[in-house]
Order: sequence, then C-alpha cells, then structure tokens
Amino acid sequence: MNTTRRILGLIAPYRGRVALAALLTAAASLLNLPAPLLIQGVVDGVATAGRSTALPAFAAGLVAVYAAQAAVAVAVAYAIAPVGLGVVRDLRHALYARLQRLGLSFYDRTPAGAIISRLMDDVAVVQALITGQSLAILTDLGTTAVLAGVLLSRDAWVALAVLSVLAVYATTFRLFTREIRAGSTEVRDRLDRVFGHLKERLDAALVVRAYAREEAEIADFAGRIGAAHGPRLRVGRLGAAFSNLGTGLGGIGGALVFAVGAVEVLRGRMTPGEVVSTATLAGLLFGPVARLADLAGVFEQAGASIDRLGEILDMQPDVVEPAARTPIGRARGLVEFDRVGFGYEAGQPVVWDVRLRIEPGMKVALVGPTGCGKSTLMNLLLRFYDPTWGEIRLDGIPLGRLSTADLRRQVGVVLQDPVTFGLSLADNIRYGAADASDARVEAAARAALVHDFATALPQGYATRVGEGGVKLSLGERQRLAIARAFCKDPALVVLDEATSSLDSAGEALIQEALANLLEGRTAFIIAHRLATVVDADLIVVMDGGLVVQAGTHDELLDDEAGLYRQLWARQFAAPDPPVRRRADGPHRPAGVRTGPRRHGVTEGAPGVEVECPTTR
Amino acid sequence: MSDDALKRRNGRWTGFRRVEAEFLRPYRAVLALALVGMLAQSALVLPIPLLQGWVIDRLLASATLPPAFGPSPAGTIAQALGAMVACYLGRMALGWGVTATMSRVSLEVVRELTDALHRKLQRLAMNYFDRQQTGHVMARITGDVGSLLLFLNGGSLQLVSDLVLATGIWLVLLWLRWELGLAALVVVPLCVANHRLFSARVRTLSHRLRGEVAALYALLSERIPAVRVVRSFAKEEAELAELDDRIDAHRALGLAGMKATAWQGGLATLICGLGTSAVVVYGAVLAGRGRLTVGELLASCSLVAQLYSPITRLAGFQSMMAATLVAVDRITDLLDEPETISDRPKARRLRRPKGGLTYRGVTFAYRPGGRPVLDRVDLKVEPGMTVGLFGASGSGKSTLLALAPRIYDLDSDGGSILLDGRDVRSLGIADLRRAVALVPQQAMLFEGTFRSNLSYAAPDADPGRVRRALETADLATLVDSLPLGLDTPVGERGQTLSGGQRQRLALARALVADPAVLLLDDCTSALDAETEARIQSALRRHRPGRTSVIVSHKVSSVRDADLIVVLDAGRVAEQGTHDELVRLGGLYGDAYLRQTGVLMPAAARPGRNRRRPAPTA
Repeated sequence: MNTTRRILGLIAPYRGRVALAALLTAAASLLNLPAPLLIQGVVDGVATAGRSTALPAFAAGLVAVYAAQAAVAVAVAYAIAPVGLGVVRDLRHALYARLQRLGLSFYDRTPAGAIISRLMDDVAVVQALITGQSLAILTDLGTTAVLAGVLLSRDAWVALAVLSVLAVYATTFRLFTREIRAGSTEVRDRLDRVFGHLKERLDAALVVRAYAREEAEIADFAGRIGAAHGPRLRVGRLGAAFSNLGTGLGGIGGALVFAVGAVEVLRGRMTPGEVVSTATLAGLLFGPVARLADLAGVFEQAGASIDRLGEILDMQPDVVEPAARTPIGRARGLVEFDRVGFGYEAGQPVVWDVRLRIEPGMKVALVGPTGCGKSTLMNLLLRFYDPTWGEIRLDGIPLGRLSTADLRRQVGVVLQDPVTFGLSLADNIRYGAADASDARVEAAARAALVHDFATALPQGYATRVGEGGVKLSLGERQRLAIARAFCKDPALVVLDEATSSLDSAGEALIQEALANLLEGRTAFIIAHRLATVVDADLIVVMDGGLVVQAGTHDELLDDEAGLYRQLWARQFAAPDPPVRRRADGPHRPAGVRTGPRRHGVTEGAPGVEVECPTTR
Repeated sequence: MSDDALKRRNGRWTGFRRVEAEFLRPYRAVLALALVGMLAQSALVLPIPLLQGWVIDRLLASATLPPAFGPSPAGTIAQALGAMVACYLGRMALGWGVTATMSRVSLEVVRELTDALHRKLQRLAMNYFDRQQTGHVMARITGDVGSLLLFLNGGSLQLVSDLVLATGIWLVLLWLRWELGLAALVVVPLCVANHRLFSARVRTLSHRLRGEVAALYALLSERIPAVRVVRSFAKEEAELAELDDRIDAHRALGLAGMKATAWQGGLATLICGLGTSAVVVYGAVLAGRGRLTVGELLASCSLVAQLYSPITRLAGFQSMMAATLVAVDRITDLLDEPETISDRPKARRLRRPKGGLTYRGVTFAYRPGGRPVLDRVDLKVEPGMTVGLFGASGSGKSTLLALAPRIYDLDSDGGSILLDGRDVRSLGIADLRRAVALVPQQAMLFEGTFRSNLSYAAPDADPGRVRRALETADLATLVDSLPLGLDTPVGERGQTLSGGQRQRLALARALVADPAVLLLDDCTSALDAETEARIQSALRRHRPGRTSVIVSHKVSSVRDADLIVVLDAGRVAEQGTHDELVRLGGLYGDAYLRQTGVLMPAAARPGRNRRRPAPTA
C-alpha cells in the first residue's frame, strides 16, 4: 500500500532507533512472562508446599522483574520519542521546502488556510501514529506470534479455538478499516474548507463589521461546522464499534481457550497448570490483537492525512530550476522579451507576442487599461510563471538558465498591496538582504522616506510592525516596501502600481525617493496615473495582452489615433493634451526602436477597454 | 477582565469549571449514564479471575476426589464459559454504547464550543483584530479545541472510571482477605509523591508546547499568503531556515515533555510492581497458613494486577490533563475578552435615515493614553452632500471614517458623532451600519462568485438593485462579457480579478445595500482617473440624495465634492470648495499644483527636471 510505503519512508532515517526501540519493546513484553511464572512458583512452592524459606528469593525476583520493566519502559520512550517528533519535523520541513518551490499557480488555486491546515493538523495526525504505543502493539504481535506457535502446538482443540477467533477478527478488521478511512478523509476535507473560510473572514474582520454581517457570519459558520459534523459523528461511531468489537472478541477468545483447556484437563490431555499458562498466553496474544484495532483506526486517519500531504509532496514545481545554472554576478540590466506569449490556462493567452528590448538603465513604463497583461508581463520577468512560448533574456541569458534565486536577487519589486511582516521595522527593510548593516538599512529608509516615521515610533527601527505590532498606514507600508526593495540594491526595479496609494504630500517626496531607487537601474513602472510616467525613456502601451504602442511620451502623443493619446486625454479631461518638448531632446540609449509601432491591433478599436479577469 | 485573569491564576480549574458549566452541563444526564455504563463495563472484568479461580479449584478437587462427588467438572466449565462469554459480551455492548455516546457528546460539545468561540470573535471589536495575529486566533479554534476534544473523547470518563474501578477492585480484595486489601494500599503514598514530582514540569512543558504551536500557526499564516514577496526577494531558503528554527524548538519541547512522562510512567510501573509483590508474598504467606485457597490466591494476583493498571494509566493522563487545562485556559481567555462595542441597552431603532453626519469635537487615540489620531474635529455633513476628505497619510482620514459606523468607539470624553442628530452610540449597531456603509481601503473580497460577493451586505437585495450597483461601479460591461456572468468565481480574496476590478466589486458590494451614507476610504486608488470619474458621476446620478464622504489623496477624486475638508495631523486645516481652496493656496492648493502640474508649461514647474531620474545608459 502506498501509504505504508510512505510511512516506512518517513521512518527510514530513524531505522536504528526504531530497531533499538523494537528490541527493547520485545524485551519488555518478554519481561511480562517471568512475573506470572514467579507468582506460579510462589503459589506452588510456598503456598501449596509450604516452603516459606524460598519466599524472600521469590519476592526479590518479583521486585527485580518490575524494576527491569520500569527501566525498559523508560528506555523505550527515550528510544522512540525522537522518532515521532523527528518525523513531524521532517514532514513539516519537507512540505515547506516543497511549498517554497511550487509555482504561484498552486497558491492561486489553494486557499492559504488549507495549506496551513496540512502543515499543522495533518502532520499532527501522522504524529499520533508514530508513537511507542504503535510500536508496542506491532512488537507485541511479533513476540506473541511465537507464543501463539507454542500455544497451537500444545493441543489441536485449543489451536482451533484460537484460529476461529482470529478469523472472525480479521473479517471485521477488513470491513471497518476501509469505512473509517473514507470517513476520515471526508472529515478532514470538510474541516479544511471550514477553516480556510474562517481565516478569510477573520482577515476581513473589518468588512464583516462594516456591513453588520456578524450574525450572518455566525450562522454561516455554524452551518459549515454542521456539515462536517455528520461525517465526524459517523467516524466516531465506527471507531467505537470497531475497537469494542476487537476487545470483545479478544476477551471471548481468552475465555474460549480457557474452557477448551479445562475440558482437555478433564480428558486428561492437559494439566491444570498448563491451562493456567495457556490462558495467560492466550490473553497475551489477544490483547495486542485487540489493540491492533485502535492502531488501525489511527493508521487509517493517518493514511488519509498522509495522502493529502502526498498531494503536495508529489506536486512538481511548474517553474523548474536549470540543471546547470549560468552564473551571473550583478546584472547590467539588459532585458529582452522575445515573442513572449502566456496564458494562465491553456488556450486563454493573456499576453501575446511581446517583443521588447530594454537597454541597461532604461526606465520603461507599462500603461494600458485595467487588467490586461502589464502585471502578467512582470510575473514572467520574475519567473513566477514561465512563458507559454517565446523567451525572456537578462543580459542575453535566457531566464530559464538562471537559478530563480540569482534572477530574483537582481530585481527589486514594489507591489501594489504592500506586505508587512510581523518583525521589527529594520528586519522588514532588511528582508531581501539579511546581512545588510544597520547603516545600510537606515540609508534605504532615508531614501524611501521611512526614516522620519521610523524615528517617531516607540522603539525606532526596532519597533515591531505588522500583525501584532504597531499599525502602519497604507502609505507608510508602501514606503516600507520601497525601502525593502532599495536595501537589496537590485539591478532591475519593478514598480507594480507602487505609487497608487501614496498621498499627494508624500508623492512629491516619493518621486525623489523613487528617482534614487531607479538611479542607474533598469526599471519597469506599471502605473495608471500617466503623470507619473511622462519622464520614462520608453512607454509601452498595452491593450488586450498586446503591445499596441511604444515610444516616448512626446512621440506617443503625436500619434493622433493612438491609444496613449486617448488615455491621456481622458485622464486629464483635456481634449487637446499638450505635447511636451524637452529642451535637451529625447534622451534615449541607442538600440531602442522608437516611434509608435503596433503589433497587430485587433478589430476592437484601441481604447475600448478589453477586460478579462486575470489570475494575478 | 483583570479580575477574571486574577481568578484564573488563582485556581487552575476555574477555566475548566466554566467550560463544564457552559458546555457540558446539558449533557450531564447522558454523561452520568455513560459513566454508569463504563463502571458496569469495568466491573464485568472482575468476575473473570474469580470464575477462573473457581474452575481451577474444581479441577484440582476433581483430581483428588471421586467424580461422583459434587457437581461434574464439565458442568462447571460450561457454566464458567457461559458466564465469562456473557461478561465479555456485556462488556462489548456496554463499551460500544459508552464509546459511541462519548464520541457523540464530545463532538457535540466541541461543535458548540467552536461556534461559541466564533460567535465571540464576530462580536469582538476591530481593535481586537488589530492586536491579534489571525494565526493565533485560528490556533485557539483548531488546536485548543482539538485538545479538549481529545480529552473529552479519550480521557475524561476513562479517568473517572479508572479511579472508581481501582476502588472496586480494592473492595473485592478486601472481601477476599482484608489483609491483602491493606497490603495493596501500601504504595498509594508513593503514587501520590510520583504525581507531585512531575506535575509542575509536565504542565509547564505542555504550556510552552502549545505556545510554540501557536507561533508556528502565526508564522505560516503570515508567510504563506505573502508568497509573492517571499519569491521576489528570493527568500525561500531563509523562510525554510526560519521554519526550521520553529519546528526544532517544537521538537525539543516535545522531547522534554515525553521524557518527563516516560520517567513518571517508569516510576509508576516500579511502584505498582512493589505493590504487586507485597500482595503476592503476603498472599502466599496467608495461603501457607491455610487461610487462602490456591484459587483465591491466583484470583487475588490477577486482581492486584488490574488494580494497578489504572493507576499506571493515571500517570499517562497527567500530560494530557495538563495540555487540556492549558487549552481550556486559552479558550476561556478568548471567551472572556470584553466586547467593547455592542448595543447599548435600549438601543434605538433607526428608520429611514436621512444621512446627516455631524462630528462634534471628536478626539480619538487607538490606545488609551496614546497619541491622538484625531484632535477636536468638528464637521457637519448635510444629508445628500458629497464631502471630500483630503490629507496626507497619517492625518486621520481613515480613522474619521471608521468612527462613524462604530468600527471603533469614541471615549466618553472624546466628543460625539451624530447621525441625523442622534449619537451613533445610542443606535443599534446593525441599523447604524446598514445606514452608514464603509468601503475600506483594501478591497477584501471573499471566495465565491460576483453574485455572492455582491449580495454580502444585503442578501435579500433584488436583481434590479444588484444591476444598478454594477452599473454604478462600472462593472456591468465586464460582468456581461463573462460567459458565467454574475456566477463567475472570483477566487480566494478575489485574486483572479485585477486590483481595479477588486476595488470596483468592493464598491458595488456596498452599493447593493443602498446605504444612506457612503464612506469611501480611498477605495478607488487602483483605478485610472477616467474610470474613477465615471464612477463618481454615476454615484450622483443613480442615487442623488445619498450622503458621500470620499477619502483621497488625489485632487481628481475630490475636486467635484460639495465640500472639501483638508485634514492635517488630526485637525481640520482647511475647508471649502475646490475653487475656494485653490484660491486659498494652502495645503490643498499646493497639492493641486503638484498633481496637475504636468499640464502647465515646463517653465512654471520649478525643479521638475531635477527630480527626473537620470538615465545612465
């Protein structure tokens, strides 16, 4: 069974410890034998025969046996405890490592709550399986199999009694385990959805309150929990029936063996002493067999969890690291898009045939109507996804030949929704460059205008911000994100709507900060407000996943029918946007094709807002 | 609150008793029945050694006496087998019933507790969420409730029944031979000492372990949604290293806990072994003197083994018990969290609000004694007016908006906010928030479809209203172009939509509720100016009488407002129409020049070239 193989794989690194623990457990179960024998000795020798001088020896023997049992029990725990905990640690590590490599498409379709629930809850279920108890049951089964052999060789009728009980037991075992497993899978899936939903709603607590939907949320959550409740109850009932059937059969089996043995005594084929020891042995056999039911229950639950974990562990990242990575120092910043096309889903391209050559140090603005291809193009540049066709090159090296870490180290990204981690302000800035000195952090903070509000915080740069810390305003968080990009000293900068939430007072200053950040770096700027992109060396106008125009501000405005002119006119409600002529002439590196150009504008006239929901 | 905390610290069981009183009490009868069933089930073990001892004595007797003497041994065996099988069948039936009942009751209790915790979370004010990490909150509902489930289902009744069973066995021993019963008791003080020795350590460890699990939850729930940032900063390895630190700490604590439990268990085994030896030896002495038959001696040996096995198990229960107490404390902590914003007694109903909003001397700080975010703000918004709130970040614009629908409450000395002349704190919260809709900065959509998101604020809205909201928010064309229309899924947090689409959907969601006052907290920042302008004019056209307050840092967003209020560091700095403020030439005037400066001749824009990034190719 696949699950068994996976579990064996998980404990493989701990083989030595497991073997030691198994040996110790076997010793522990063998240590169960001397006590009844010693008691038998006491009964026969002292009580019946009246040899009271032997009593101290027997008593010392008994105490020694129990002391040995205690010592072995502690030893077993010491041997096996690191295994269960180690497996849990290994599993979480392996899952998280895999999660770090999986493509963003996985995150797009899997709710964060569900991912967390796998890392936490499913792994905990597996832990419940790998314990000393499970090992004891398995080992006891092994040692008692030997005892069972002894038992079976003693008397045909006793053997028959044992075998018939085992047969009944095996049947119920098969019957129940499948049901329990199916039920457990269903329960976990449903709870997953419940808690994924819960996380979403807790994160949006503000919206829930703003629309006075608390009572509706309460009812909705109760409904969801209720939906998981039925299957949960069913699994509980099945488990109850199964484990009690196991115990009951074990007990009846023991009684049966005792009765059969007693009859054999009457027929003169066994002695009373043998009956007692046979019954004891039968008890030792059926005990672990009955407990096997509990183990099977745990195993089935763990099996369901392991299958779910396997889904993640077996998933292949859709962006693969190159077999032999091309080393790259600090890139110069030459970026080429060579006939790049991409669709999040097959047959639905959101970017068509993009060809761009960006010289080092150029500032490129990507403009166009909401939602069609600008952000996607940047996702491709960062290799969050690989192009469906075509190729992107950095300094002439295809991105596929660079390791993603090398590539992303070159790029400083400022996203539209700024993310703040629950760390100190300094560590937030340092996020992309862990070894950055305090001086460098402060320099980045000054450049991004974080310094002023940072020093006003209670503990300055050491203040914990983000969730559970000091609440920063959206504008402050945005500046923090800029500082973070700055601290990394990237060769390329991507600003994805980075300034959309900056206020006007901050904006004049932030232009200066961004100018610092962009200085000497190749930059891609996605912006809605055209005023912010006027100075770009190259403005790329996109529509419906196509590059419809490219050129400087002045050149693009010259094109009367161009989309850029229309966008500009509408944004400033001026029918005739003025053409800016720079006194020093267009400052443009050589090798860039200039002037408005088009790549197959489709029949929909440019300017018609073509919108499609895109996976961002 | 502080009283409660004090009480909890004083008595470890306070939290537990409270959960018992609130959630277990309805099941008292069922639980009592289950306990009786469990005791009966346990008691049914007792006859087995006695029956076996009886058979052995009969067999020994029949070996020494002629067969005709007394009842036939075969009959004895048949009777004993029948009785034993009956005992086991009875045990099985009882065990089945008890386990199934306990599993049902514990799942019901857990369900109610989960519901109660969630209800509490929904009723807590926003400031709770500002200072709590979602991961920590989630850990209470999943982990802590889970460990209570484990205890209820697997431990609680077993614990009680073990204690009672041990007493029962001891009584049987006493009945067999009272000296044996007393001998069995010798080790009880040792058991107590063993328990004392480890209880504090086990409890501390399990407390720290739960804290570690919560921290792990918090880390994951912060980092997994931020995957884009992690990737773009190439921090995958560092993330893994950080997780490794956490899981290593978790493993170390777990190991320490298991070792403590192992020592405790080992000592318990040893102590019980001593007890068994004492009983056996003393029993042998008694049998040697002829005061005990061999069968009785065998029976008492089996009994004493059964007497001690529950006692050994008790040691194992201790770590579970400690974990449960910690979990229960954390659960009651959450349940005790004060609901700072709730309906006052005799909250007034709000019918047909006109939409007049008045701020009177509003002063507010997020923490008591903290830096005031708003400082004596006075503002009068007449019904039907559109007001633009303009100012730098941190000037208090968002806070001013959030106070009106009571997302945060003013202190008693912090002034007042009136809706149609009535203090908002005297109104029912549900009524108030239906009348005053806040559209927050971040869109925060929900997994589901366009339709489910749109109907969020007003589930009973008719299709016409949904349609009008879509048109106003400039989403109608988009929705019409989709094959599934309103039933198109939008993904978790609406992430299959672009930023602008998310914002417009969030706006439409508020419009469907048709509020009298619409508070737009910079919620169109991702839209281009033309779309924004289109939406603003549609807002006026579709619902002329509605009061709107628009927060923005863009002049273009507020220039058409009837009144523009400029906030600076929590105070109203300027007020007036666009033209008045531009003439005034203050903060607003400056911003206007900056933001539209590009339309002016280059010469009139000093410093423009200086700020221009210099290409360096």
